[in-house]
Amino acid sequence: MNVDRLLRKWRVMFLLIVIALSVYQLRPWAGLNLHWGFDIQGGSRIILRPTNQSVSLEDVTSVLQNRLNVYGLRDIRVRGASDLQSSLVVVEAAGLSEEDVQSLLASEGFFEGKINNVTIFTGDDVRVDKAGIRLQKKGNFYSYSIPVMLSPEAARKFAKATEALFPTGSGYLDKTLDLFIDGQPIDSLQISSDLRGREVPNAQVTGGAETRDEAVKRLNRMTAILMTGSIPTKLEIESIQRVSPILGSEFLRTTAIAALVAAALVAAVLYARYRNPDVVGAILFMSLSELIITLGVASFINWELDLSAIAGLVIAIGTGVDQEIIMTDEILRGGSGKQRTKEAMFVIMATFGTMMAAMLPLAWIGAGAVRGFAVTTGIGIAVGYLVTRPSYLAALDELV
Amino acid sequence: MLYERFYAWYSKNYRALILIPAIVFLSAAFIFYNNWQAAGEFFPKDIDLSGGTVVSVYTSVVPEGVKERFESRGFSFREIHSYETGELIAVSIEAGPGFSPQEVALLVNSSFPGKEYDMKSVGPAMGESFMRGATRSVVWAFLLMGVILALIFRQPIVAFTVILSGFLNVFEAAAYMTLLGVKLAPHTIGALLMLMGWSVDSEVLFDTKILKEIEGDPKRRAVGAMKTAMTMSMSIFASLSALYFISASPLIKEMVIVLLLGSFFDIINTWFQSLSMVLWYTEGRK
Repeated sequence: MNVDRLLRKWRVMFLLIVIALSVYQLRPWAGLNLHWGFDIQGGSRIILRPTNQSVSLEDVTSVLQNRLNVYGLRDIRVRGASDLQSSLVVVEAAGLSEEDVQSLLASEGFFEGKINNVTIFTGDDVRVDKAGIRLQKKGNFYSYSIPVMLSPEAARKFAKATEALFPTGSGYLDKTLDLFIDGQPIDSLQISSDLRGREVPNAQVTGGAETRDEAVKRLNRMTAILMTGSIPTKLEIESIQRVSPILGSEFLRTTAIAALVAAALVAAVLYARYRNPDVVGAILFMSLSELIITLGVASFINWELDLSAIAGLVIAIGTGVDQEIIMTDEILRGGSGKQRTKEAMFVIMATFGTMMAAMLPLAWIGAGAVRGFAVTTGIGIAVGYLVTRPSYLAALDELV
Repeated sequence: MLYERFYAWYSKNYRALILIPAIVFLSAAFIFYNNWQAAGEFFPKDIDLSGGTVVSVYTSVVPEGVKERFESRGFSFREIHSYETGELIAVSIEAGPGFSPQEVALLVNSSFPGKEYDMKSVGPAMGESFMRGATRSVVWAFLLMGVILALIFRQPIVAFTVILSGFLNVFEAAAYMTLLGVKLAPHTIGALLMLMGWSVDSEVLFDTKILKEIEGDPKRRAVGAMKTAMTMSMSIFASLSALYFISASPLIKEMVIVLLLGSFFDIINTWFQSLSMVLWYTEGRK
């Protein structure tokens, strides 16, 4: 084996560059930049069906997500999905028990506005006029306004409460309107002096920030909060799946050990057949590269790795070994190199096409239950077809 | 020596070998027929597809009366023992789609206080639409694979044998997995479709060897390619067995069972059916 000549092949160089990029993306020195699925981290997947199917799924998911964020829960994914019959909401909460999630989804998210500790309105009194929401730039400041309509009852309470307040010099009253969710304070708004003692049927909730992104974030959060009391539909639990964290990590650990043992056994089979440590080493190196690159791609697109995705990864790598065996035998048989290469690549292309065709429709069934498997397998075989197989073929000349 | 004897035997008998895949196919069809007679469906379905609740409680003791408590409510109660030591490692409780998951969880919590458990619950409507979606995606997958294979191999005989042998792998693995207690579920459907892709590579290898190359006797080229195919199968079996025995995840174990079955049937269908048919076809053309 001539390492120097090996490194001069551009396909081998390309492989090494892609590996380097993947390692950089994965940051193994900072604890692997990967998003593990709920069945590995431990946690739950809950599928909810809106009883009123005509509401916008986006409204429901954004409200739920915002609501969960308001509660300070970050590691929760809420997404819309659909099966053949209806639209669904999928909540994946890694690292949380299903009881926690259930109590949050079932909890009211009770919204209150208070002045001087007197309740002026609750979520039921407020209707957000979504079409009227504005975001403007004023100088160096981005400000938003959300028009809301108050119930007559709330308007009366507002008039009564502001009667007793005093204007300060800055054009606002001396007390603020404080907003709460389930008794937790979330925001305080200043009240313009000219509203004092008036029965205002509609109001503007305003706020802002110095950057546009931050202002949009605050606007969305406020809209979500204002709408939380009025999620447009009831949600029914369709499916619950829960995995305890101890088991999840045990699944991952034992599967990783199994993969190592599998690699050792495959190495033994390959050595028994070829009696050439360079070939065995190269095939194992290609498998390792596929693992690293596929994980790198998964990390780059922020793909969640659940157990079925891990299974897909292992299968894609196994397929790779099979194809490298075909290539090795073609080259070992000698003869016209070009022709042999063409034949080996033909087999590989046919397998690649068939597997992609098999995986594609899988991604859509059951609200994405096996999407992890389908997508990871797809990435794995694509990496094999585009990166590792061509470089193995290029390297083979130097190895045998 | 051995190789020459095998070659002599093989060239004389390859036509008769088609009988083996035929018998395997009939046995698989018989399993499906039996399932249909016994339960009115070809596959026992996992709760993802049928609806219901499954709880696995990780415990080494079952308190007195607990089993009866579950069974009296119409839940199934099964003990899972370790393969190596025979110790009780878990119990699996299954409830039909008529029970709410909260109801089941409550009973589990009170019967096994403080024990770790996994739970999966699927509403009946959800299960039904899962099933329909799964059927649809399998049909799509087969159509797509057929189109791609037909495009890749312009020769109809090749496209036909590849698709036939891939289909037989899936069909037979699906039948035999029900014998081993593996139910139809999204992940086992995934593994079954995967088999189609797997069966293609050794298939294509043989067909290219026999049809595209010209030098020498096609039977000898076929026997030569068997060595490659054997190495491939050995490495597949080695890695799948490691996964089966070491991984603790039931999901991965079930997928591995399906893939092991499929790889086994792949050898039978590729070597004895597809290979024989293509050889027969080339010999006939001469």
